[in-house]
Amino acid sequence: MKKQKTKDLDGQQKLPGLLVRDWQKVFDAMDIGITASDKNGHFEIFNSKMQAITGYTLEQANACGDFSRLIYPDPLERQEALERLNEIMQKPGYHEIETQIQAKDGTKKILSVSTSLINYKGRVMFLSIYQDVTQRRKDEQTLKQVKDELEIQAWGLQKANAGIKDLYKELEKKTREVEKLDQVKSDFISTVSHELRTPLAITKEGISLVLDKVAGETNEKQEKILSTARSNIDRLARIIDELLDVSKIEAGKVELKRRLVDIAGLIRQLTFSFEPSLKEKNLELKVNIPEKQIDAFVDPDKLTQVFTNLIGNALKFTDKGYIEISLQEKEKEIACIVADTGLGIAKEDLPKVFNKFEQFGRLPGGGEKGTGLGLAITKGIIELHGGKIWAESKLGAGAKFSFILPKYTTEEIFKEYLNNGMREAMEEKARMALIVISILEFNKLKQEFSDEKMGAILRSMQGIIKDTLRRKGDVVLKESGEMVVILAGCDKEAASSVENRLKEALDKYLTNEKLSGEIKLRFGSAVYPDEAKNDQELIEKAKKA
Amino acid sequence: MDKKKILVIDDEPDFLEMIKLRLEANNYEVLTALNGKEGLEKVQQEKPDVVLLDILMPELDGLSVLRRIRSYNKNLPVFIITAFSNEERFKLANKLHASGFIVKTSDLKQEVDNINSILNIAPQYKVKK
Repeated sequence: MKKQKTKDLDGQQKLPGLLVRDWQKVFDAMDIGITASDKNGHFEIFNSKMQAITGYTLEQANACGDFSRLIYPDPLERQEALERLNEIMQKPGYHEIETQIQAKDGTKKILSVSTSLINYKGRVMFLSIYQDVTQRRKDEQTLKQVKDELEIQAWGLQKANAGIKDLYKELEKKTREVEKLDQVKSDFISTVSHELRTPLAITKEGISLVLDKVAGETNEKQEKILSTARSNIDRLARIIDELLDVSKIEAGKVELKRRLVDIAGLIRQLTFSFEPSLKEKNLELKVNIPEKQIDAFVDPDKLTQVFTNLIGNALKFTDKGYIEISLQEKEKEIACIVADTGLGIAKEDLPKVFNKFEQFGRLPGGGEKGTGLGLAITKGIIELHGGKIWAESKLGAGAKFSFILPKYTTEEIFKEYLNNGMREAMEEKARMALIVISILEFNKLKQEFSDEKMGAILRSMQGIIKDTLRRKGDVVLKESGEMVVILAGCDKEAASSVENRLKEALDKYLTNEKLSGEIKLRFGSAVYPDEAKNDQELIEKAKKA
Repeated sequence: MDKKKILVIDDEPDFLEMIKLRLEANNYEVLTALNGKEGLEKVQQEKPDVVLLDILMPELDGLSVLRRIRSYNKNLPVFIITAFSNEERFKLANKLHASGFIVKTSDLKQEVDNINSILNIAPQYKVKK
């Protein structure tokens, strides 16, 4: 304690105009607690702030003899606090400790205290400065709690994150399992259908052999029995085939092989195959189709299946009157209707017609029995094409099945062809070539020729291109007067030989038609992936070459 | 005209029995083999004019049998017996240089008629290279 330097507060008294009494005022104006006490604990200074903090006045603090007893009611706490205060007094330099006191009103307060020795009015005194840090500590405590909570939350999030990662892994595992199951399922479907069909085929052949009298003569009664048996075997075979179709559609295993197909032509062709049955039932078939090509971007086999199902159904349930097929090309879709004057469907059954194994209005005996799957397959196929199908009917007043197919622009179709080609090439690690045949000054030519003539010329050229290709290829006629040929599995060398053949064939056509003066063609080709990495590059490259 | 010698290779005995009757009714001399190995032996020994070959057989499958036949005889008409759909059949046709197909599940009378017409119309039938 002796070593501690004392500060001469008296010295500052010499400041002009500042009286000793004024010091009290200065202390009282301060926002920190200030006390000065002698070694006996008698306070000389006990400023307003200190009074506010503790709730005691200077007189009260001095009256009790030992102020520490007032603010440290717990003797143990008091002893500890005093020891700490003493300790810092021993150390050189400036020290601060924190201590919790009890104010007069009983509230606990945390004070930050620093004490130093001063020379006051010629006496060595303890000058102490107190700061009430209760709120600060409380805030800090709150802050710490918030921080802890945040940390807990962060920890929770981290755990959750890890959990999600685990879930994700689990999901991936499950996905793989599902994929495997999917494979198993689709293998199962094809195995089952194969396993079912083989004994069926053998049974059918056995019956056929007897019916064909390979094993000797048969009588009429035997033949009738065997015929019934055989037609039911055929029916069972159809059910198996259609079940397979439905399973494939439901499992998303059907990949449409879309082509530009003239639907009007497809229907006309189909109607021929129904002629015998129509004649047999003495029904009229009205074909209400515009006399022109109506191109749609569809899978021709699947669409044939749709028409066969719908016309077949109409035929089955119509005994007199007619069946009418209508086709209409609208701006954004192709609409098709198959209507009949047959039995019709009851209102309550209408919503169920596209369900599996729902059969309505079945006639006792007579006719080929259905499988109850045809319309479910039909709906599946139309929806795969991005279309919509619905039925309208009244019991006894015929049925009307309508469906619409979306129309695609040539640009969309071209992109589809191109992307399919590129995907296939990528999957099979093969190449794909693109040949672009552009008609020069196409817009000028379009003005010179009539639409009809230009259309005919373009179609002829498209036909020639198709005929000239010796390999599988897609040909797209673009509205900009470009004909694009997509050749799967074709390298640069093969592409240029195809290009030359096409050039020869088209030149010949133009010469024969006396068009070579007006129509000039430019040829170009590019090969994926050798010359271009994406569709845009490929087109650009082929146009330039 | 001599009877044509036809060898049917299929692992299904019942099917063999049926198609044998059908082919005999069509004036063929019919030999049968129940597996690929036996079939290959009979191709060598009996020198059939036509072979009907099941694609799905345990052990030595139809594909391998055809490959071996083609390794020394490019011209023997070989018809593949299959239960596959059209499209897959065409893919196989390109791969295997087969002369044609018999769809097990369709009308065998018609299928045999098809074989007859292919063999009769083109007696010097050559397999496309």
